[in-house]
Amino acid sequence: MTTNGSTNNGDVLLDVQGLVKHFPVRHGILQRVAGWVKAVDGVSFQIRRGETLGLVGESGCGKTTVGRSILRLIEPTAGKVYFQDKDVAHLDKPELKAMRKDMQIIFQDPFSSLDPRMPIGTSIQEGLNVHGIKGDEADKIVRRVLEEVGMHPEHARRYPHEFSGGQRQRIGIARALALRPKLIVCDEPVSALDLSIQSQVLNLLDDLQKEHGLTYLFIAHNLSVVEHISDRVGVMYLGKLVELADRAELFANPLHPYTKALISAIPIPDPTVKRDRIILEGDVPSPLNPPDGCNFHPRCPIAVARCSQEEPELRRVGSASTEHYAACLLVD
Amino acid sequence: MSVAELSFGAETLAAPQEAGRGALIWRRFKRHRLAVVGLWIVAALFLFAFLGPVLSPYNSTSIPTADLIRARDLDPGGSWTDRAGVTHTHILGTDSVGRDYLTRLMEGGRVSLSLAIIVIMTSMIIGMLIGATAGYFGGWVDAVIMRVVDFILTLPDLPVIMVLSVILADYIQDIPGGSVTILGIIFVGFGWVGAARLVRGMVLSLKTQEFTDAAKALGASNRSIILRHMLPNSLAPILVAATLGVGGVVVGEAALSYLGFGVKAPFPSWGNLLQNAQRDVMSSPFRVFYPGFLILLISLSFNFIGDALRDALDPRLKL
Repeated sequence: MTTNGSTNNGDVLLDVQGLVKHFPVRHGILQRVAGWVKAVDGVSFQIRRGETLGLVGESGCGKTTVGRSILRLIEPTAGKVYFQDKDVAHLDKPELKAMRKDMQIIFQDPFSSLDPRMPIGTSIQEGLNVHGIKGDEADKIVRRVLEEVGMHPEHARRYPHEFSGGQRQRIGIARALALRPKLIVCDEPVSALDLSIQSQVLNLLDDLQKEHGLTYLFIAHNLSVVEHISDRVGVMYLGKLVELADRAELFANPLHPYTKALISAIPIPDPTVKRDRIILEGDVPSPLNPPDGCNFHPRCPIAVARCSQEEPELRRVGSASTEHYAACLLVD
Repeated sequence: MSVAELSFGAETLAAPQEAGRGALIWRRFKRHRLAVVGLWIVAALFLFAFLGPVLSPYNSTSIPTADLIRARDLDPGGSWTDRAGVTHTHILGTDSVGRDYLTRLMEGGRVSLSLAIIVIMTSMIIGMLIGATAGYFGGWVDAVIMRVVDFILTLPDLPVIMVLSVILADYIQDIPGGSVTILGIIFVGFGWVGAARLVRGMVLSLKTQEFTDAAKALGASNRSIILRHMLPNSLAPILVAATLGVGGVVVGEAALSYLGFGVKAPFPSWGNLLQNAQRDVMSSPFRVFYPGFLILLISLSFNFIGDALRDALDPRLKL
């Protein structure tokens, strides 16, 4: 079950192998399939128990689709997702239900992620009820998780519209936390929040991880946020993972030209520092019709002729002391 | 609880005290004066129809056979004395076979209003369940259900109802409730499609919201997502449609009964009272006026209430 050459030492909680999700594009009255949006096109990575893997990329690069495929909120087209050594895609209904207890998600939009007609306590309790925890015990858990995320237990009877965005995001976290999951997929959990609230929520996630030994897949488009919270970082471009390394290594020594461009775009709060910004030309190509060869070659500042013919694999690069993977023909 | 100690100032302060949802809706509803009047009229008419027949000394269906000649066709306020010397006064007079017209009007209201309420509730519940199923599952389930809905919508209801009621007329004796039940079934058969379309549209947008995914990720079954999340969130427009629909059913029943396909004698309904009265329209015009006026009143009232509810339940308006 090793994909990226890393050793399978039993510490691996989630192992994603060659995940593919293509959405059909339908046209006309007969709803014929006119094409396929290659949202995720062969992504492999592993998450170890207790770590945070950051997944970054522009909007539309497929990072959210990766997160939802792992939870089987959407059915992947191909590839395998092993969670605790079980293939998520081939679980039957009772097995899937049991797995859902261990794997939760926090959403981006704190306004649409809570049912407006349901008191927040009921929303938090929903998962407990599904898994057979009811009555006083469920109430106790709701009170506890509300406290854990820094809310008053008395808030349980209120409706979502009575709370601010940051409070709602905490409620969303409480809902995910109630089932005591092992893995939480954080799908851009702070990008809809004000900057000051962002850091509060990030610190909360950090504290909860330490307290409960949680494992996070942290999806974001903001590099500074990812740098703050992640142990390792994966960079996605047009449905593919282009680089994966330890946080420090990736930010200090980015190897893929796309990652280099991204990192050079992080603002530095010091006007005297002179920077070499790498400005990418053009737009992200349509995932309906991705370019041949390397997906990135039309915008790549260092592309050569063979980049448009050969498709680079994600492979181990750089010095032997660090685990650093990149999908670029020109890097070794 | 190290995390709980990280209280975040204003963030954790109590959310502003707000009046309950119900109070807010009522405040917005009250802005429509006509709807409030309508509410009173509806309440009065329900008392009239459901309490009236109980209080009335007269029976709405039995005919005073022995004194038929003296009792029939009395004008409003008219009275007659039976052989035992007892004088009977009829506030709204009697019909052509001597039955008290006020009692028949009340009893007719009971039939018309119960029919309307039961029809609307049944068709809304059926429509909600079917519409939510179509919208939530999508794909071929949706395609099949919505084609059936389209088919029913293309049927011209009046001719179909006429044909159906003629065919079903043979079985009237075998069905509890007789003509009223048949009429109800026909109305529900046509009525659920509107609710189904409405709820399907709501569910199509609700199911793309993240709370649906959250419920799925928690392990909730499709059935519980539909019942606990989809339906409560699509209740507001259904409530409006139901309110507007009640008036529609009363008018529809009246139209069919007027044409002779609705509620059958001896049971009165506002529709067949109107029909029976047309023979005597020259001699006793009031018999046409009363049921007609009540039908107008109830359908207008429900329309005003429905309009006000539409505004009151709209979450975008916060007045």
